[in-house]
Order: sequence, then C-alpha cells, then structure tokens
Amino acid sequence: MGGKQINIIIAEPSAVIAAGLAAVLANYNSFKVLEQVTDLKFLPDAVSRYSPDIVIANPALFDYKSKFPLRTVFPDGESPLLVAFTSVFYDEAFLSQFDAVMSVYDSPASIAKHLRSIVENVRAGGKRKPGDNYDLSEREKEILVAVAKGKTNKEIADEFNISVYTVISHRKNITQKTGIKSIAGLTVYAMLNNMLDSSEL
Amino acid sequence: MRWKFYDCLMENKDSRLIAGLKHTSRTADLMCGDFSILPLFYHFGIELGFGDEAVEDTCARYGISADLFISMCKVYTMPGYVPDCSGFGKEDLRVVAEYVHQSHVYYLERALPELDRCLDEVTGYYGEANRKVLKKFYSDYRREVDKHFDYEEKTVLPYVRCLLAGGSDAGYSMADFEDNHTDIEESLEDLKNIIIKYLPSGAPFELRYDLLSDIIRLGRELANHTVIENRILVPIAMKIENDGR
Repeated sequence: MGGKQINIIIAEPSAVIAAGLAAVLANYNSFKVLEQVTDLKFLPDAVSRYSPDIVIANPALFDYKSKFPLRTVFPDGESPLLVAFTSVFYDEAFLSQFDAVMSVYDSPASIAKHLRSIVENVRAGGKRKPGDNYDLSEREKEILVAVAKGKTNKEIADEFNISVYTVISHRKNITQKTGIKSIAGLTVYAMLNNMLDSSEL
Repeated sequence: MRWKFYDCLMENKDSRLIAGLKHTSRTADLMCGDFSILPLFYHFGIELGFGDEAVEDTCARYGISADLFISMCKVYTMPGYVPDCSGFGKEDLRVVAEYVHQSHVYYLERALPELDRCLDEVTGYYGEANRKVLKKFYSDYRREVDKHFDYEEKTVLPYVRCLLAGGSDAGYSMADFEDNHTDIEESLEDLKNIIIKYLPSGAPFELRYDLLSDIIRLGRELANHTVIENRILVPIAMKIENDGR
C-alpha cells in the first residue's frame, strides 16, 4: 500500500504506553511519530507546529464532563483526525466524539490498518461521517446562483459549458437537497446564505 | 406564548370512522375523529353545539346534501381520495360554490392578514438585507395568491352562478378554469422549507414556531380547498355544462 506518509502526534500521560505505541508504529514505514505530549496543555502548540494527520490521544486527558467538543483543543485552521487510544472502558457517547477508537489490546497490525484507512478516507475526499450528502456541491452552488439571478437553462448551459440536460439535472438535485422549487425561493436561499447580493439581481 | 402549533400536532386520526361515515353517524364523532376537518365545518358556517345529532340532521339544517358533505369530509381527511360526483347536481354545485366563496373570505380576511402580521413581526428582528429578502418573497407570494382568488371570485364563481341559473357563457367554460387553475402551493411550500431550514437567527424562539405553524396550517387548508375545487366543483360544473340539467 503506497501513499504518502502519515504524521502522528501522541498525547499520552503514561510513558510506558506512549513508548509502546511509538515502537509499534515505528515498524511501519508509512507512520512517523513527530511528537509525544503528556498533557493537553502542550497539544495545541505541537499541532500548530507539525500539522499532523492524526493525533492519537488517551481519552483520560480530556474533560469528560466538558460541554465543549473535544476538537476545540485544536487551534484554528488545524483539523487532524482525533483517535482515542484506550486501556479502559469509556462511555460510548464520549467516545463518539473521536474519529476512531483503538485499544491497547489491539494487535499492531490492526492498529496500523485502522490508522491507514481513516487517513485514506479523508485524503480520498470522503466525509468523516458516512451517510447521505445533503450539502450542495460547489457546482450546484454556482448553478443555484445563476438560477437565482434569473438566467435560463440555456444561458446557464452556455456559461458553464455543459448541456442543458446537465443543468436540469443539477437543478433537480438542488431542489431535492434544499426542498425549494421556485426561482424566487432559490433567490431567498441564495441571499440568506450570502451567496448573492441584492445588487446582483 | 401562543401555543398555536399544538393543533397541528394534536391531530387525532381515526380514519376508519371517516371511511365508514354514514348519514346516521354522529356529527360530533366525526369532528372528534379527525380535527383536520375543522375548516370544513367553519367554511360551511356550522355552529358548534350541535349536540348528539346525526350527520344527516346537521346537513339538513344547513341545506347541504349529506352525501356531498361526506364526500368533502373524505377529501379533507383521506389523501388521494377521488369522490364520485356522478350523483351530484345543481343544488350540490350551489353548495360547493358557496363553500369556495366562504373559504376565500376566510383566507383574505383572517388567515392571510394573520400570516402577514406574523411574518412582519419575525422579520422585524432582522437586519435590513434579510428583512427585505424575506418580505419581498412573501409579498410576491401574496400578490400571486390575491390574483388567484380574485380570478376565482370575479370569473369562475359568477360563471358557476350563471350556470346554476340555467344560463351559459359562450366565452368561458370550466375547461378554461381547469387550464388556468394556478398552483399557489409551491411558493408556500418553499417558504415553509426556508423557515424550517434557513431562517436566520435573531427572532424569538416562540415567534418563529408561531410563524411556522401558521404556514403549515394554511398550506394544508389551501391544499384541501384546491382538491375540493378540482375534484368536486369542476366535475359537477362540467356535468351541468354538458347536459344542462
């Protein structure tokens, strides 16, 4: 399995566990452990400095009762995958905030496989939470703005160099995702979502 | 806080009761079986307090044929129901035309002004840009609706009354109405979706729910009204056009 290197930061207070995990990962060329931190307060700095793909963290470091999502520990602009490395049982709701959950009892091979697969999924452009995609694609947004401006299907087809059939297909998807059918309704949508200015109409 | 939205949620559907409705069923049971029938009673002007009387008695008091009334109840409560209009005649057409007129009065004098007011209140909390966008969309919709009802009041209903009087109009027919019967529900649907999904923050919680519930109720009522027009008014009128009965 080729592909780029996966950069990792380990956040683990136990030196023994951290050393064990680093040693397991060192057996695989695709992983590089860039830094190990023993406390959450060191994590934001390390993430800023290295921009890792993955942070493997002991869930015990996080405030279980915190109202803020775990990811607020990452500085703005940084969004590594957050993987829990557990040795004891944790509440499922708490663990669901991690992108993946691994255990000290997992085999090295399954740890490596798991880490690789979540990174590949992100790199391939997949959404982290699989499911129906209700967000408009970039192209759909462009078409929506054109429709809201009052352009005909033919004008839109010419502008984007696609067939009228494709324009109609995009419009169907837009209606399905937003639930809005009329041009006036799409105009409101576009303006409320700051895709369009009243001066452009 | 106005608990307006509760009536949308608290529908008590006993569809077996409506499906098996007979002339001798109790009117009160009918209303308890499915609250969505309320507007139908309202438009007919049926006073609450009809005790334990049977459907046929209530209908007799108001000059409505029980069969017609039951058909209309089914339209209101059974989606996709297509009534059999072969047994209906001029008297029934008169009753349905009056129902249509009364419902227009209700929309124009009560439901729509209330919606106007609610939307005004909500958008009052927004910045100028968002307020303008929403108010423009809504006022375009209002104009569409006013035109729709105006056409029905000034062209369609007078033609129907003319038919009932035994006359005819060479320049107009029910087929023309069918062709021109515009869809006023699409924009309301869009508005509903915008309010549910994309309404900007800033207006109070309860107000937004009041607005949504107003739109949902009006949308449902308009849908039923349109079905009555398309599946009862038009077929009976066409029958009378054809055989001049």
